Amino acid sequence: MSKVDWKIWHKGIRMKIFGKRLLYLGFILFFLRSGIVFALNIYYNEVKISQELKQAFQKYWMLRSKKSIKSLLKREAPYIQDMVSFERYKRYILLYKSTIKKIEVKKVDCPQPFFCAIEFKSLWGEGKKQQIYWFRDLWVKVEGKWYHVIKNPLFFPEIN
Amino acid sequence: MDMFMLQLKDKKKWINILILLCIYSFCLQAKAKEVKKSNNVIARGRGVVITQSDVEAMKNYLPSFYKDEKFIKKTTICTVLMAKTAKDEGLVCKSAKSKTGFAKTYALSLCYYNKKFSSIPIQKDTIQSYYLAHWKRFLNSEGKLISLDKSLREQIKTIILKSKGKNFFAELCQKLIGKYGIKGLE
Repeated sequence: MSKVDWKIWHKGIRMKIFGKRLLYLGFILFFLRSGIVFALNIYYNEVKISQELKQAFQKYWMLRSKKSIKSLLKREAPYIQDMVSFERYKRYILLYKSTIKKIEVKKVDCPQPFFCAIEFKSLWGEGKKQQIYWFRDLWVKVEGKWYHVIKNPLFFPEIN
Repeated sequence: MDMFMLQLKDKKKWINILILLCIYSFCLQAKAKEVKKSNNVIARGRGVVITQSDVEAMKNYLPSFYKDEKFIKKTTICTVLMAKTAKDEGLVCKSAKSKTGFAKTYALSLCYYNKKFSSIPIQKDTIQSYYLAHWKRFLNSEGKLISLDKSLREQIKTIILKSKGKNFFAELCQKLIGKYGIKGLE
């Protein structure tokens, strides 16, 4: 093999290896960004819920599962965004160390057209260790947009 | 021999001068330390000096259960910085006019804090979302929702500001410490 041939061959191999690596990296980044890796199954069991609220609820719990704290805080009611510091909110979200696997919505109660409570059962876990938590999620509609309302008098006494 | 004796004498003279100089520099250093001790400067920055006497005076304005020296020191620094900024900005403060010494500093700092605190912008969305999320609190005797008028807006604004106040002092303090380049804080 001449020197020139070897160089071309060597470059080809390098391209093959790094090209593939880049491709894999691209796939991983795509999956991470799209949230496919954090698959979260939400079941509504014939519960009546408006499409807008359903979308807001799904997006919120998807982000909660991913622990995207900045994006999550933007989905909290504006007064919560204003009254709670990012650091405290982060600490609160990170209290739940495992990820959510499944959500089963049991009841949607809307005493006001702008205020709804969603009761659901959630399955959290990492590997074999799994736990069930019950939630009563509150939602408020401000200027046509649904926002999540944190209710935790122990962690956030000032906003309750 | 005479020449040698003369040189020796000169050497002795120089040694004596050197010893005297050393003693003098030690004395100066000791005096400087003494001066520093009497002033008891706890922190200094651009155009500001905070002394131990300020800290002692500050204790009169704090509840007696505040015992943490570090906290009292930091509060004193912030009080002095706020008063200085108020003075520099020419803030009109009626309560400080008749006062002198640290009482004036404290009154000026309060004026500055109140001015800054009342100018915190509260968005319309923030007030409305609080009202809607806590709708149960705003029901009249017939169970109907009270409209969000000006007075109710003000009420909600006060609630929000109250909770923000806790972080606000610390944030304002940190800003001023950076502005004046305060040294002396651990």
